[in-house]
Amino acid sequence: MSYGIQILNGNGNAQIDSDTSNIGITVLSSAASSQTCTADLTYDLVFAKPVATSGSQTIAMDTTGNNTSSSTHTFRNNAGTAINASFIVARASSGQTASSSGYGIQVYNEDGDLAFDTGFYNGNSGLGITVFEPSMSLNGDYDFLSNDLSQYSLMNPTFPSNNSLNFFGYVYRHTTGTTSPYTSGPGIYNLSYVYINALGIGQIYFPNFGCLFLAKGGSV
Amino acid sequence: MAILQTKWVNIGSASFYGITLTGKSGSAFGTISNNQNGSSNEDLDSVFSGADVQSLYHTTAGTGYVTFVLTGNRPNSTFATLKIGSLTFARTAASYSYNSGNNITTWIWPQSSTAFGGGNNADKEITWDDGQASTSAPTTSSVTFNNPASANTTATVALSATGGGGTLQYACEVGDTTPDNWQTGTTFTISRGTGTVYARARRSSSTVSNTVSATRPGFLIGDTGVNPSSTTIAHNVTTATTVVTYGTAGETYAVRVNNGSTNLGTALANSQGTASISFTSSLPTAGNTTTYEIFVRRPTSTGGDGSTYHATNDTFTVTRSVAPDTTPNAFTFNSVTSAGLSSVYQSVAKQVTGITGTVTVSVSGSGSPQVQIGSGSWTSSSTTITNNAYINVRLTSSASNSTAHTATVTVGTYSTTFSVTTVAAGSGTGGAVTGGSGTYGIKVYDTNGTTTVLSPSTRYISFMTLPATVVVAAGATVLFQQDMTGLTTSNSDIAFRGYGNLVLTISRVTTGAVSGQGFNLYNHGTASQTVFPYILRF
Repeated sequence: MSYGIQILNGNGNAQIDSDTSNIGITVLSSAASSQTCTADLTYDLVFAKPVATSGSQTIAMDTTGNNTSSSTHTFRNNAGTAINASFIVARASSGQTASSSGYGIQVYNEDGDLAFDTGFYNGNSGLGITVFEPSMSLNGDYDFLSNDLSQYSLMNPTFPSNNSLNFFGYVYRHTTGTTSPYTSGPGIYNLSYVYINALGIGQIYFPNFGCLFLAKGGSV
Repeated sequence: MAILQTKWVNIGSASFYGITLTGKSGSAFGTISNNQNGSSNEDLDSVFSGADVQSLYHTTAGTGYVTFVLTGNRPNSTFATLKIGSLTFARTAASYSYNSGNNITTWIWPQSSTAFGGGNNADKEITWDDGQASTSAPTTSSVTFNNPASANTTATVALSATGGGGTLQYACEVGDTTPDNWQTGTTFTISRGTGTVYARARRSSSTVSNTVSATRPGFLIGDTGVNPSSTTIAHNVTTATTVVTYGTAGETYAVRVNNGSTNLGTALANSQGTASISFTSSLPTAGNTTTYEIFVRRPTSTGGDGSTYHATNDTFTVTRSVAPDTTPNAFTFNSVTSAGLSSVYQSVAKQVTGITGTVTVSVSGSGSPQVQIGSGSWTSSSTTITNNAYINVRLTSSASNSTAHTATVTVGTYSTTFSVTTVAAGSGTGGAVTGGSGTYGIKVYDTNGTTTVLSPSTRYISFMTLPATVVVAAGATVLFQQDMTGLTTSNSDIAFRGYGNLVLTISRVTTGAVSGQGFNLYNHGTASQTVFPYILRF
């Protein structure tokens, strides 16, 4: 790089890079238990997990038609029922208004977008990704992601069905044992299926066309 | 009337006490010969075998008698009349006796005047007659046979002239040029076989017909109008079976290579005339067809010889399927690097193409690998797959850093691997991410002054592009542009806001002009798709 700032973490991964179109995120809001969250999915990444800690809890986020800054999204299970979830909303720095006073550090990338601003950290703690699943790496058939049930799952690509026929989301499996399809025991699984009402096809699983993340919040 | 024998008596005589005897009496007077004026010959074998004429004379004793004496014990039969010159004496009119002391048999008829007139040395013809009418030989014209479906046939002897007198009798035998199984019936039972049958007829032992002959009825062959079924067998079986229909119950059918001489398999037709024949030799090789012929053996009970198989000229084919192609088109599983420890990693499912039939799949290696065919269950055991099905593999990564677990997946004759290597200690990329623990770098604290919101151990996430609206027409590919410099599969990826019913294939473009780099979105579907992709760096 010929100018600007680049910050790498201990593993060499970029956290802040002003030499690219990089736009960092900061935690915008969070809640310990809520059936809804407010997020602008043009800028926001929503991470969530079911509040219930028994049995098998499915979760996805209903984003239908709500993409404004004040849009409300509902967490639902695979039966379409609203459920309580613990969530974290992280917003891209370019989607926030840069602080114009005080102290700290601001980093702009070469496109002129605000990539990082310490002024955004205002009591919502941090967010660090812990598990990454590349696009097309899962087939949707109860793909095991992690045994750590404290992690939040990326909700942006998910969708619940209001008629229980289609679902893309996660299963938080709390029950011990390796009963099929939870052959890896308690943990977080990816589940995605659609019901094709033609040619007798019925329900089929499908892969993650985009990448998925698990993340942890708090002090990172 | 049939004369049994004729003799001549040279008359002799003797007289005493007023009684006169004329004719022949032992050696006392007179002689008997076969011809007039012939030499002495007392044999009367044509009337009684072995008998000699001891005496034949007339006596004037009493009211007069004719006495006939033979040597030996002779039955009161055989001849019907005794004729001396013109006088005839019925045997049944005589008194008959046998003298065992002298071993002579005597017939005596009352006769007042002498039967031997003419004086001494005159010859008198003597005849013994059987009392039967005279016979003439019949003429045999043919011997013919019927042709039943059985082991024996019936021969019928026919005459062109019946002859006369006596008793008409017939004889018919196999291989005997002078058949003598005389019977009055014209039909005979002749078993089937080879050789010649001879036949003749007679009126008496001396009036026998000519002999005729005919070829002995041969064995019948079985039912040749059968319908064997053709079949196709799998490439690896060792037995073929044909079902013969429209056969005849009780007959045995055999399979031979067309026009062959060796039975490959046989079966007895059931009551419906059906026989199922299995055979294991002379089968075609994979991809080839062989023509076979049905042969039939008829049992003796229905006129066959019970041993010989005859060609029916009815053929069928056996085709052996080509061996399945067990070598799929090459495919590979992308390896996973910098994987988290002791975690289950799964490959991207691959479509198996280029095989035929059902092909065996096995998996081995480290990390308890398992395979999944289509949407079936995960298994570490041997399983199978068919063409165009998808295969997936998963394993558990090592519990140690920088250690690879590798599964070897074998589909038919083709093997490929899926390798998962755990992250090096102190580093972390894709998968379960382990943050560093260094004491350098930058830390950002939240407003409370204690919560770390950014630190050297944080795997941070940032947008390279924000969500954009992209319309991908059916069957089209749209590039979602991004300068991919420094972006790898370990630190960047495309994500979507809401999937809907997407049917996309995502491919990364990292070479060429920056304007052509990014992610290609290919729409498999039949309808246009509006998607909201964005690119994340982490």
